[in-house]
Amino acid sequence: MLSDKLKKWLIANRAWEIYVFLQRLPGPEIDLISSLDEQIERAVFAGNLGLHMHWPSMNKNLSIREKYAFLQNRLQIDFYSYVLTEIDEQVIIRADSAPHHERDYRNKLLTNFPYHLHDEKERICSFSGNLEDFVELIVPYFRQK
Amino acid sequence: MRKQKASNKITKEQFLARVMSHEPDREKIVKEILQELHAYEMKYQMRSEIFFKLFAGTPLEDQPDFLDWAMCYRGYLQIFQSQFSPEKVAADVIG
Repeated sequence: MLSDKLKKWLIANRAWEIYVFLQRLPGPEIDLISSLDEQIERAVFAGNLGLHMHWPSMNKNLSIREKYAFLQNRLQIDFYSYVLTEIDEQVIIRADSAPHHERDYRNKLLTNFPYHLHDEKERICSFSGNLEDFVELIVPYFRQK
Repeated sequence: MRKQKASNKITKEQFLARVMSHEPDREKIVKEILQELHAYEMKYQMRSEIFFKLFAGTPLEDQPDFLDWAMCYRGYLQIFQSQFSPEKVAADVIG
């Protein structure tokens, strides 16, 4: 079993990756570093990290949730949910790894089951499972007025 | 598009040093998780235990709030299970 200190180190490295990916977006109205710091502490005990960012002037919220497992001194993302919403919580697009869909909206098998995306028309699409790719997908929504 | 301000930049080394420099406050974390669970319970008028039994792991879970709620509850369970892990019990007994 890993020590809490090693777990924290692994989670902190993942949190840094998240921070780097989020640099593609405008600065949210929170102190991202402080929020990540708090969430790392939570993840050491609870095994999951939850980051909620708001851009009121752009009518956007972004929620990132990841649950971790630790195998042989490595961190593995056991489950995730990434959600872009409007301020009133209306979902724009979201991605998660819940195993509730095997096929996309064209009835083709998902390329990376159980990873999938609910697009802006609420259709199920294949998705890589990478947060970096999700951020890439949502960048255009921050350019819209 | 406005990018994050350069003044907010921090290096990976600085970030890791900051994060590793303090000990987690377990009580504060438990309190935050309980508050979060309570907010979902109020919103959906259902206790977390019941929600978890009925929704978690089923297709009904496939809503952003429900996925978050289930993950939050799993975290809550993990904290309390870890209190009774063989390592922790042995440490308590040995002192």
